[in-house]
Amino acid sequence: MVVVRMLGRHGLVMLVVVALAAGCGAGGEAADGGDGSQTPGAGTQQDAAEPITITWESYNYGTQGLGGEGTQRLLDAFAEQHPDIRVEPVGTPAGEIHTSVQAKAAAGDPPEVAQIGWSKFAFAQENLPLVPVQEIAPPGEWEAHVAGFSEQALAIGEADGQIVAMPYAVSTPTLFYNADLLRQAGLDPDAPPETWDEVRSAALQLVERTDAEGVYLAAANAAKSDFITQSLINSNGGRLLAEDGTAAFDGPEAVEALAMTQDLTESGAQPRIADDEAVALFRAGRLGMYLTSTALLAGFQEAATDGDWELRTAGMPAFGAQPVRVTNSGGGLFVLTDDPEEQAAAWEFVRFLTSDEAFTILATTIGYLPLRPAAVDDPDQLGSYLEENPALLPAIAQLDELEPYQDMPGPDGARARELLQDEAVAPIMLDGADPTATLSAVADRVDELLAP
Amino acid sequence: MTVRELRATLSAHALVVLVCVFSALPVVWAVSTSFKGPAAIFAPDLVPADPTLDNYRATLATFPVARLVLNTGAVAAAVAALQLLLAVLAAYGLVRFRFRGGPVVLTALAAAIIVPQQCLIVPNYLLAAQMGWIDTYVGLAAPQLAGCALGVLLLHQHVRAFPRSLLDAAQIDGAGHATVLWRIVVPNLRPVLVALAVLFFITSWNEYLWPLLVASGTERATVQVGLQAFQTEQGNDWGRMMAAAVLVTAPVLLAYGLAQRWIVAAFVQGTGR
Repeated sequence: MVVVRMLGRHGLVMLVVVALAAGCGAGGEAADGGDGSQTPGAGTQQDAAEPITITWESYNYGTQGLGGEGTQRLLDAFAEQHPDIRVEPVGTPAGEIHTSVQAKAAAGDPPEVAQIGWSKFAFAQENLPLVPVQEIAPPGEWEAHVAGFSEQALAIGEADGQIVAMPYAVSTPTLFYNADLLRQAGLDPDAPPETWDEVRSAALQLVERTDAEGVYLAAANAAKSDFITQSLINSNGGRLLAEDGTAAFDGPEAVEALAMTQDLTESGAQPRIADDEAVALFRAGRLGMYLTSTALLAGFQEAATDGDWELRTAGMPAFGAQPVRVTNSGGGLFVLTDDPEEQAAAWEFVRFLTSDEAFTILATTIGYLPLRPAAVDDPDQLGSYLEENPALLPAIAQLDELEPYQDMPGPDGARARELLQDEAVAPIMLDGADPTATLSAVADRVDELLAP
Repeated sequence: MTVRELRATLSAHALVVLVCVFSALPVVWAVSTSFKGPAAIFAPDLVPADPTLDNYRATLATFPVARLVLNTGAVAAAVAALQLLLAVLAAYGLVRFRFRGGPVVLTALAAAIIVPQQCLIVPNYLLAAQMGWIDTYVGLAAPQLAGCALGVLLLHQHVRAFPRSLLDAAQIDGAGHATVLWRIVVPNLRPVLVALAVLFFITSWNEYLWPLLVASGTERATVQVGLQAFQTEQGNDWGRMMAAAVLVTAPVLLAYGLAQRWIVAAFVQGTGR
């Protein structure tokens, strides 16, 4: 009461509070109209044919660079073709998007469509009010749409016998190489290394005969993504997790696969640097070979053009004569609305984003893989582009042997993955940690985290 | 000055210089990186060998520097001012009015400081959604006001240390609590209030998680969320990110430079009393 009386007597204090609060509000109004810009279509909402609005939360939208530009092109193309559907995009970083969607879902207002990374697939199924994308398609349209899809790619989004999330921004590990550096080192850029033994000797030759570094594997990376780790383990006949969900990355095949990454470093074929630095080195034309996601393709092409060097790609090298079994990174499209009208709009949007046209935009502007073989062969879509720019072809070829990404389930899945990357993969690859002992110790801790 | 005194002064200065260099190095490195081309980003040169303005050109062409600075500045200023007001009122009330549960309130405030912000994200979001504050400036600022607990505790100590006889004398002379608070207590607490205001402003300016959730990728995005846009799935653009960081920091540094005289004066004023 005293405080209230005090405030009553001192209008000035109240005035400050009100003015600050009003300042917040006024700022809001200024932000809407201050620069004359509006959300696309905002002014037409009250028009006669009111469009239905859906929100799309994406980790590519709004980012500076090619990912953001490519995503904006997709949105523009969809808006032009579907004036009856207004998409409100929201950009959230990949690492936070699942938490953001979860908070919004708890508040009863999740985005109708969300692009979430495959490493959060189990989290999404356990914690988000998902509506399987297969269920929202009108009768007949689902079959017609997936008829042109790569079967292996479609399987990425499968759970309990149906497609829960639509595979969208997908990439696989690809060996990028600087053809000019290979020539300087006396290597044949037309015959890039196909096995890890060949990679090792080519890299050592690069180090010896040029000023550049040899090779780098983005297995240990700041994003703590384990898709290259999994691709290496799979390709040597191992698995990340066993059938019963326990850690299997301490098996002899996995140990051997990661020991290979250590040997590259210890022999001098691979520099002892962080992944970000390797990206910069490769872009600068000072790294011969770099195994990473195809999502970096467009950026590398830009750097190669600017730096006047020749960029080429090859598939992920094999362990001897064993088949290469890559897994994927990237994300899928998840639908989170019960409303039939919003579901219909969401389906149209998802169908567009996974159409020949959209995959052409994704592949040409960013480097995500076209998951519809028809788009690859069609000269009006990607066909003629790929003829002139064959850099994506090795990664597309790998799609036939794609192993779905294994995510670590449960509430501590993300911690378990970080543990694997931070305390096993990075120390083994870069710091000389003993592969057998390290993987065994980390596997025990991961099992504890994943235990139901 | 004896040799011993000189040695002590020199040692103290050397330590201060070392701390300054240590604190300034990341900032200097960020400025240096902003002038480096892609090929030299990781080069260990403090002065770029081949400086370029490309990062600034590209950033200014696509990155909404002014909007982000205005958004963040407005929110941080409002949060700092309101937190200060709440902290002053609460601290004065807790010291001057004896009421049942006072110690419990103080304990609860201390507990509030140690609760990680991440634990409050979902309940805060639910509340903000129910209030219709999502994607609004009020939504950005309001939940941050609860972060004034540290201020209340600090001011509580200062108000408690205030000579009680002085306050009682003012009241005997007919001054009400409001007069005592605003005319006597607050002017004498100016140094600590200025320090708290700066602390509150910086904390709000650096806020990342809440603005990301409540106003991400929209017209109301803040500086810290905006800078994240350079870290993408297609790689991190450190050169442009550092250019953007320099651009968004410059206005605040400039404002501090201009206001430095008053801020220092406010610190100094009262310390001799």
